[in-house]
Amino acid sequence: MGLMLRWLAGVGVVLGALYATVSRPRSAPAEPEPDPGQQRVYQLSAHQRRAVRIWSALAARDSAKARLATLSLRTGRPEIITVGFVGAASSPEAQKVVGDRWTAVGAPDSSVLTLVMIYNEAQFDSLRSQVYPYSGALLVPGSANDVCVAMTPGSRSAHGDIDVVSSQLDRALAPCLLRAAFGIPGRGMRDWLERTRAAAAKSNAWLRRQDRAVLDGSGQLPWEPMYEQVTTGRSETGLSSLLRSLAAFEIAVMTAPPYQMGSAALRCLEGNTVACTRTVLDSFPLHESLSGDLTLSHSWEFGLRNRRNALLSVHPIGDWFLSDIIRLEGRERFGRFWRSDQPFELAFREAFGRDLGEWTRDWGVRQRRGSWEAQFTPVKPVTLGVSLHPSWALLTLGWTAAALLLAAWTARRRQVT
Amino acid sequence: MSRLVLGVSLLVLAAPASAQVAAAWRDSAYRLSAEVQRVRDSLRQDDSQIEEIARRSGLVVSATSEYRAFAEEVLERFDAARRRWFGSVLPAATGFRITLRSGESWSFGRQTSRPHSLSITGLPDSDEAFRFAPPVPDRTLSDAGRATGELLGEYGNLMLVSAPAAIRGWLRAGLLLSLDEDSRRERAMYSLVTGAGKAQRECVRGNAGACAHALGIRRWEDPDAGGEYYPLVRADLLLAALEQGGEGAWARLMAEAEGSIEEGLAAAAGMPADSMLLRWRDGLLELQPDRGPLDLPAAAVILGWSALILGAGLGIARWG
Repeated sequence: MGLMLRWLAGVGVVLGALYATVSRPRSAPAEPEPDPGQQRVYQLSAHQRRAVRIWSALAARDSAKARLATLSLRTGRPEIITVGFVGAASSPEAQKVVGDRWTAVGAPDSSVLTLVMIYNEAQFDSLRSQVYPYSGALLVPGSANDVCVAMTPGSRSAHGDIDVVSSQLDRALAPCLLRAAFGIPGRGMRDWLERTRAAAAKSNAWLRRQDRAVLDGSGQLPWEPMYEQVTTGRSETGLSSLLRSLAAFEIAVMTAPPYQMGSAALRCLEGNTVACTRTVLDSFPLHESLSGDLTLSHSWEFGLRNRRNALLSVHPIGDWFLSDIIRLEGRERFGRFWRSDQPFELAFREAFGRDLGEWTRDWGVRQRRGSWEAQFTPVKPVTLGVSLHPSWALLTLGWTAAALLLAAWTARRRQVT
Repeated sequence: MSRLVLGVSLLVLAAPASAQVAAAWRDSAYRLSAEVQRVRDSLRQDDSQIEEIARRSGLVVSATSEYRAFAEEVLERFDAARRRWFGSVLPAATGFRITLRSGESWSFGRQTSRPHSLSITGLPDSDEAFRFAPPVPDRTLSDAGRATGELLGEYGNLMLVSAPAAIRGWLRAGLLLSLDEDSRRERAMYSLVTGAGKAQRECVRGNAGACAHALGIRRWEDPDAGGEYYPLVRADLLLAALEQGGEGAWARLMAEAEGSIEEGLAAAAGMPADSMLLRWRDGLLELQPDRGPLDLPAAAVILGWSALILGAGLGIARWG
């Protein structure tokens, strides 16, 4: 009877401890509701920023088209024009970037004409909306020549020159440089560029870095991370507090697969080449329908971040993807790929003799290993699904049986008085 | 209900911009901007917890209950500091209001924060009045010096809006009033004495023309003149000129709207530019440390302690 009571007391203590650890407090404080007034300000501000972004893009497009109607463009190094500045102005910085890039291209293709336009960003700053005005390229197909206009905002410096952000200008030039180097793209490439707004063609590293061993992308992950913004935290329970004190959150982040790149990228990194192809072909689900002749400015500005379906959607592939194809496969073969009229995937196979998905997987794995994330957390190969090997189950059962037999054998040897 | 109102208002405000027409999006952006401002203002003015604490000429200070005593101290410091550089000139003709407001807690991931706001608003409270209300961390409103620095920083930005364009462009980084004065002057002194360019070295030796070049005020006729000082040094020079000029310095600077940087600085200081430059240089050089990092008494103390520790160590050690 005494033994029974002790057993019951022991079981009661264990269950009580479990309940105290796992259960949520009955009167958990409710999550604070965001102030409706502030919430309204946030939402209105988000809409305002979106309106300024699209306004700047369309205004730049209108200015460029108006200037194209009066200008006669020549092949070779592009002319740089300024729009919206009072008095004569030039941008030595822009001239240097444009000069360097076109020197690196060599003899540009005569079927494509290029113009560089710097517009005054002051009017978009007047609303204090903290938005980068549009910087990208306008693509105008013509009967004799295609025209590519690289457009970027600028501001007048204290010395009277026009300041531009060089990296922004460089990205805006990228689609035009590809056309200058390789001519008018074939149907497959053109369709893909239009569908993705040339978002993966924003790097000119292929003109600067010939060394194939050097990784481009500045340590970014190969597929753009998209986070769900959290502004209100949940109230802590006994369990969550315990987990936090054990730094379980950090451990989970370090050991989990890289979810932030999305499920398609995860499957690709695991070795699913169909998923890899999908991350290239079905990438960039645009939320804002800008005019089709404009390239994407900043993917993170155009509504791609903070999506509820961030894990399931296909994330944008690194904007240096096309540049890396040129660097790794060579200009000549890339030229054949660029000009091919075959669908994108088929053209890739014909030009490089490899499957697009397979190539993308190798590229993604290498990029991930060289990313900043890899500097701080061990980058293990991605493993998805059930990872329990059948032999583990047998081993577990075997060891359990051995432990039971040992316990039973010990019990039999005990003398009961 | 509020969601419904918000949805309808967004529909009304953003609807005309559905087409690919720049003007429609511009109008939409302006309408949304006005609406954001209106909602913000109504939130600010409906705050019943805020009470007026004190008044000076053209200056009203309000605060939420927990900051009432603190606000009075900040007001004293702020008012004294702004008068040193700007005299009685105000950023708004009818004055302005400073508000210290406690914020609500919010969480981002694992971090919980309680940003407060420290706002400067033009008077009277109307849609046209300027306003600036940056959220500030808790620690800013727990230290009167820090809160005053923050306010001065924003106040300096507001004053600069009406400054001559040449001066605004020349400053590059603004007046940097949010920096503690000792810290700003020390950094300026360090930049002055460690500048390696030819003009910078000549400036330290007392050549006003070289100083003017190294500060981006006037070109020096020397092809090897070298580079210029950091923007912080320029801000320090302007503040020194305003201080030298006394009560009417800022007003005189404003009167030089069309003049050059040199003319503006000279007008503010109330003396020829070269004299002002040399006086500023002398002031900074006076801040140089006048003794080495280690003096004799300190060396003696170090040696004494070392000997004592060594002696004690030898005393307790066994030598066999």
